[in-house]
Amino acid sequence: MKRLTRFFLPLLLALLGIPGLTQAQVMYIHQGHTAVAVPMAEAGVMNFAEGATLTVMGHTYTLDAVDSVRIVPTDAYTPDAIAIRYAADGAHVVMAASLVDDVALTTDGAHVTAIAAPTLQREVTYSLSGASADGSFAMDGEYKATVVLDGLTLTSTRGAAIDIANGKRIAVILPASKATTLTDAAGGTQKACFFINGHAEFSGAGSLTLTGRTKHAYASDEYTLLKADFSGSITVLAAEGDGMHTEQYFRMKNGRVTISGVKGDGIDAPVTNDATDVDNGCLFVEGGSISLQVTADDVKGLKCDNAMTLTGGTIEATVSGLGTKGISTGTDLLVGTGGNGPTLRMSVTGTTYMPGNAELESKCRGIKVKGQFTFDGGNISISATGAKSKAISVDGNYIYKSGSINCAVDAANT
Amino acid sequence: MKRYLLSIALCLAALTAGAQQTDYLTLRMADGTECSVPSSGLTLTFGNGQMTVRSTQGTTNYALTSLAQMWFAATPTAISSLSGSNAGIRIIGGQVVATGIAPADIRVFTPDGREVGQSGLPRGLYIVRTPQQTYKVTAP
Repeated sequence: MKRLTRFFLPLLLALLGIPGLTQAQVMYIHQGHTAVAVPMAEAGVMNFAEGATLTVMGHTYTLDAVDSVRIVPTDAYTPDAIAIRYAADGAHVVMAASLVDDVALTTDGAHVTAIAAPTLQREVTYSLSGASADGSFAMDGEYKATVVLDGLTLTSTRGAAIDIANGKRIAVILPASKATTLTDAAGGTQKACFFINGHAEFSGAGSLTLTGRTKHAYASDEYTLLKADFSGSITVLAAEGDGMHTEQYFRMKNGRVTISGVKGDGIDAPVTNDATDVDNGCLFVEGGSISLQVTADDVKGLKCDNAMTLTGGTIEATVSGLGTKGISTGTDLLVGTGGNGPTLRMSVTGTTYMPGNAELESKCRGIKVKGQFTFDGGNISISATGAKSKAISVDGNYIYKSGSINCAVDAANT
Repeated sequence: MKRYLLSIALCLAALTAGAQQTDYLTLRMADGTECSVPSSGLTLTFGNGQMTVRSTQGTTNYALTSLAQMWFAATPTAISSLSGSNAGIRIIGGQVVATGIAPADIRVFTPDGREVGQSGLPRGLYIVRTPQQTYKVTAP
C-alpha cells in the first residue's frame, strides 16, 4: 500500500500542476499600469450598469477607467497577492481581486505605496521584481506580511528604496537564483535604504545587495532574524551609517553577511525603548558566515548593547580603522557551548583613535567585552599588530572551558 | 490496484469538469438575448460607449447601454457564437424576427429540444438555429 501511495501521490500532484487542469484561470481588469486579477471560477455574474460601470466580485469598476479586460486561462490565481514589476516606464502592478477593497495602492511612476486597511486581518504577499533607476516601495498595514524580493534592482532618488512601516512580522524571502540590489537617495531623512518598522525574518537562497547613501544600509526597529532556511546572502557595499542596524536583537542561524564600506558599525543591535522586549540589545550568531571590513575610525564590526552569544558559524573581520573593535559587547560575551562553537578570525591592524584625548581616545581591539567573557568551544584566531592594539580585552572575568585560541586575553580576572 | 486507479480517474474527472466551467463568456443583453464566445484569449476593451469583444471568432462591438450581465459558463451545447450583429435574431411579440436570414433557414427549439414554430411563442427561452449559428433568445 505504501508503494502504491508513493507512486500515485506524486502522479496526482504532478497532474494537478498542469495548467487548465485546476480551477485557476484568471481574468485581468487593466487600468493603466495596474491590473486586478480575478479568478474566473469565482467571478460569478458580473453586472453592467447604465453603460458606465461593471461590478465584479462586489467591486464596481468605472468603465471609462478600464483599459481592457483580458482572459488568460493558463495563468494561476494567487489570493492575497500583489506583484509589482518595475520597468523604465514605471511600476506595473497585478493585485488579487481579494485585496482590491482592502489595500489602497498608488503609483507615481515607479514609486509605489501600498496601504493595507487596519481591518484586513490576512497576510498579504508582495512580490517585487524588475528594475528602475527612480523608484521605491512603501508599505503599511496592521497584520503580518510577506515581501518577496524576486530579482529587483531599485534606486530611489526620493528616500528609502524599500520602506515598510508595518510594525508586525515581515517575512522577507529571497528566492533562489534571484539577485536584488537596492540603493537609496543621498541626503535624505530616511533611516535606511531598506527599512522595516516591525520584526524581519529572512529566508531563501537569493542575494540582497544594499547601499545606504543617507544613513544605514538596512535597519529594523524590532528584531531581525536570518532563519535556518536562509541560505542566501546579504551584502552591504557602503553606508553612511551602519551596515545592519537591528534594534532589539540580531539573530543569525544561517546565510552569508558581507559588510564593507560602512562609516558606522557593521552589525549593530541596540536596545529599544521598551524594557520588556525579549533579548533586548543582544546579538546571536548560530550559523552561517559573516565577513566584515571595519575600516572607519572608532566603529565596531559586531556590536550590541547587552550580551553577545556566538555558538556557530564563521566570523571573519579585518579591523583596520583607528580605535576600531572587531566585536564589542555592552555586557557579556559567550563563545561556544558544550565544547562546540564558531570560528572567529580577525586581523587587527588599526591603532589608537584620538590619542591623548581623555574623553575620546579609543584603542583598537579584536574583541572588547565590557562584562564577562566565557569561552566554551570553537576556534579563535586573532592577529593584533596595530600599535597599542589588543586581540581580546575583557573588563570583567574571562572563563575558559574549552576551545582553541591563539591570542592573549586581557581580563580583570582569569 | 483497481481502487487506486479508479480514485485517480475520479479526481481527474472532477478537476477537468471544474476547469471547463469557464470555457465560455456569456453576455446577456438588456433585452434578454444572450450570446457566448470562447473565453480563451478573449479581450474586452471599452471606449466611445462601446465594448469591443475580440475572440478567436472575430471582433464584435456592443453598445455599453445594451449590456446587462456577463458570466463564465461551461455549456458545451446550445452555445451561440457571436454574429456580426447582435440584433440579428429577436423574438418580438412572440414572433421570431431575423435580419438577413430567410425564415426557411430558421428552426426554433425549446430548451428541452422540442422544435416549435416561429410565431405565437410564449414568454421564455428558446434555441434559434440558423445554418451558420445557434442562438439563445428570450421571448419577453
